[in-house]
Amino acid sequence: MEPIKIKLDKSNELLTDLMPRKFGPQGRLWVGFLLLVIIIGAVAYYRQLKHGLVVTDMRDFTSWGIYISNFVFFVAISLVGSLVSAILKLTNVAWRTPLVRISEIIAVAAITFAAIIIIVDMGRPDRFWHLFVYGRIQSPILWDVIVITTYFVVSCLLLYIPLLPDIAVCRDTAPASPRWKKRFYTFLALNWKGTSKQYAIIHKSINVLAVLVVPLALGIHTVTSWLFATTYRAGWDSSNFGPYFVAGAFQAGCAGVIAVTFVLRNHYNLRKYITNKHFDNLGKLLVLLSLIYLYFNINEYLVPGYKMKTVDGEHLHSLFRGSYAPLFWSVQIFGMILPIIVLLFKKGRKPLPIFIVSILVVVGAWFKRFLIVIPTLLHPFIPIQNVPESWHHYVPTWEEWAITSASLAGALLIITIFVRLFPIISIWETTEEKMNATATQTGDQTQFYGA
Amino acid sequence: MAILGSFFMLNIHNAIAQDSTHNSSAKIALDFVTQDSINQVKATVTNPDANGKDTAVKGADVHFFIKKSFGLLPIGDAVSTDDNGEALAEFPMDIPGDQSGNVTVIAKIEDNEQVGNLETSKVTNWAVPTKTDHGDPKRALWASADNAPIPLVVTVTSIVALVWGTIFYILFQLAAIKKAGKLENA
Amino acid sequence: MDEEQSNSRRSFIKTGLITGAIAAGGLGIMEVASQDTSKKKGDTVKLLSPDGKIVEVDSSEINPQIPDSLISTHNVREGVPGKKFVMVIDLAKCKNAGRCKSACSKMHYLPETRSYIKINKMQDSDKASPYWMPTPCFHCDNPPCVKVCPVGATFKLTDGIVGIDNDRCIGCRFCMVACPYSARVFNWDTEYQINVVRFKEIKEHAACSTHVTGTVEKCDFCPTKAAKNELPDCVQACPNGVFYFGDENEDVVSNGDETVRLSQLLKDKSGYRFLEDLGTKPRVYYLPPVDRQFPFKDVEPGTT
Repeated sequence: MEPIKIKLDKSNELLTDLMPRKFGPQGRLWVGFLLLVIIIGAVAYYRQLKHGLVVTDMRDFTSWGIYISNFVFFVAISLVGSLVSAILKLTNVAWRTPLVRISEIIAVAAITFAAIIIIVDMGRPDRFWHLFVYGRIQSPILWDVIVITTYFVVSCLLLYIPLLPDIAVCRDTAPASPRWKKRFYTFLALNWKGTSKQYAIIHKSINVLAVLVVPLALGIHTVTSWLFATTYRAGWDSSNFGPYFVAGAFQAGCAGVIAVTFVLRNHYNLRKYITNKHFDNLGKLLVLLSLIYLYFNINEYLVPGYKMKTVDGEHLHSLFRGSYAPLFWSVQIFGMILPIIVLLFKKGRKPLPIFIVSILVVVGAWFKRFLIVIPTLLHPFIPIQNVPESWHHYVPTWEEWAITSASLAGALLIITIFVRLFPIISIWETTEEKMNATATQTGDQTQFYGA
Repeated sequence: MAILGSFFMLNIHNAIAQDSTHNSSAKIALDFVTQDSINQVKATVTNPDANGKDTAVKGADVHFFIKKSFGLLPIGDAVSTDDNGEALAEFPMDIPGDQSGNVTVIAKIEDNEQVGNLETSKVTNWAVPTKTDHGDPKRALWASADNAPIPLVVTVTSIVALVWGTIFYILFQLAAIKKAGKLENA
Repeated sequence: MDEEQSNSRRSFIKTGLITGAIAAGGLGIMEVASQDTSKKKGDTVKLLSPDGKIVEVDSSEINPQIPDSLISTHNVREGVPGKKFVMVIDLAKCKNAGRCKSACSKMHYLPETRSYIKINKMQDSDKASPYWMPTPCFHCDNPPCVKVCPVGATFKLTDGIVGIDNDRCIGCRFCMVACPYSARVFNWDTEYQINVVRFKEIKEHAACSTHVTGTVEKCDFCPTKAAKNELPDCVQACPNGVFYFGDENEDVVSNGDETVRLSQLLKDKSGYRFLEDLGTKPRVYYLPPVDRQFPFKDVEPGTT
């Protein structure tokens, strides 16, 4: 195959449009805001380290709280990397090109903070190394440690390898000063010269990784669902939990990538590359994923709701009509039903409405995980009694909110820094696409995508 | 006590205990007898008369127990001694003993007008031997890390090996990219 | 509750400054205690008593002597050889006197508000009379908590006990959500450590729960006592003989007053295990609350 030649002069409008730019006032304000949230979270975590988990509102019955639900949320969001860079690739969806890198950096940022937040949840983070020394392969936690580590590495590779030609562009166009910048790109570019051999290697590697990441993505969220489904608890004791979690993850991840894409498109003026057509397609994809998730929700609530086994019944009652009903119905309606309705209409799939809907889905997805984790713990087999009144409820403390917010801010900061350093839309793949388009017009049927 | 000691030496099967506060010389002895293939525990209670000759104690209530870790397990109700000073109780055939089927049987008389408090104990091998599993610990999901079920270990190990093998292959490809770029330079 | 905790935290910090040793807090009592081992008799150490006062105790008092040779001769992760500990709880006799709880708290140096045993008010149906059900850890033979532990900090001993190693526990609390009986409690803060005034008997047996911040603990069947053929404190403390404890291999259990055949007791009184259908195989059996010895009175424990 022909190596892709990327012109490095001003005549190449891809470079002027897509190369990373310095932060403007807005960007600096945004980074400052994220850093502030992170600092507050760090202070809260310092307090937690000093005083123990007593600073949270978790107690003997609600022994898992928003750290765990936030962890599940992060794992869910991270699945989008595999969705866009693997599933859409393997199914020959051409319009995915400008979205691949955005989804992959979301995946890397989310999985990084999934790992961090799980350490935050530990009563003894200083003993994290026990997992490696005394690890029991029988525990789903160990499976999760293995699969998260693996998914993290594969996601990083899926981000990094397709980035190589663009890093080389950054290297070759970087000004002589500051020198660290040139060195940084040179180091990362791995002597990239754009030879046909190098292109052949990255195409092969990306194909291998795309096949590898699909079962890994299913694995990471299925294993995460098993942290719950392997117990006897009402609401968790379900063989439906793996696909239910995976379906929810794809829905949340798709909404996440739409939201981030919308912001980047507006901020960096990428309308030429990310068109309304892209949003229209993403909207259709989100409808499909929401419908699948709706299907699993019906399974998850209707079947036990039909039987109303004692403890299951109490748990479901608290969701349907009890203290969690407002949150439950808000999440189901705004996070699932409303998106389906809005996105079924062509007008609903315009960038702005789809952005708003996606934000609803992402926020709904976060609270959905809260509803999966907490109400179940408040309904054990032996009713909660003989404990202080406050132990019957779970209201996260400011420390928990601060740490959780900091983790979300941290993930956004990773994305922000990435956008500052690297082209968020692949320059070489866009060039390649253009070449192919020309080739196709001239009768050459060479197709790189899905090859 | 010296007499008691020598008596014990001579009658190794007849362990004796005495209650010195009441009647220092009353004795209780335990025997194990099998009659019509029924195992019985026999307690013989004697009291020396004026001449120092042991005579049978009649109508004393004897309680039989089997000694267990956390208490004394009664064998039936109390049995009164007959004219020969003997009390018989059926030994439960299904009681577990130690690995060789040994258990300690105790015979007790409490607050008796004639003999006061008496107690004796003796070991028999009539109990059912208990098998203590000293074999390898079971492989189970709840076992220690070393005893994880083999199919689980094999499955996890092969998946990890397969996936990480692929990852290392990709890392190797990265090295190949770098090398290819160097050759181009040369 | 919150205020109480922050108070005790403040005084903890104060005390910590005085003792220095304890301020290392959260790293386990034993390290602290072993530092004091070197001190000669006559040295005093200031500690916080359970009622919040600072008391001075002779350092020899907190010397954790491990006198029991039996304990050190076998691997604590293997249990007492030849034993299979078992408990039977007679629900017909329980009137929520609460002595098991207070004895448990005392034995394990827990604050009075906390114990490994819970006495639950249960009612099987609307028309049935409610009854009291004490629940210790069931020491299951197919223990869900042990299955899920990622580091083997909770483990099954050959004598049936489910032990905890508080020096290994990472505090992930998966065992707590895995236990269907809510038997496990967590050391959310440093509160419980400072209630230990006398360290003497604590942790003679590594399967014995100790109060290490950020780790899980629970009823341990008092393995130190069980190994010495002594009944656990809850069994001894119960005024109504509700608890029977013994060795399944011997087929005998005792409540202190009465010693009976386990198999006979379960046969005669229709013994059952709580939530048998979960398949966890508890080592704690219940005798149904029929022919009650006490009418049900909904009162606070200890007032009867």
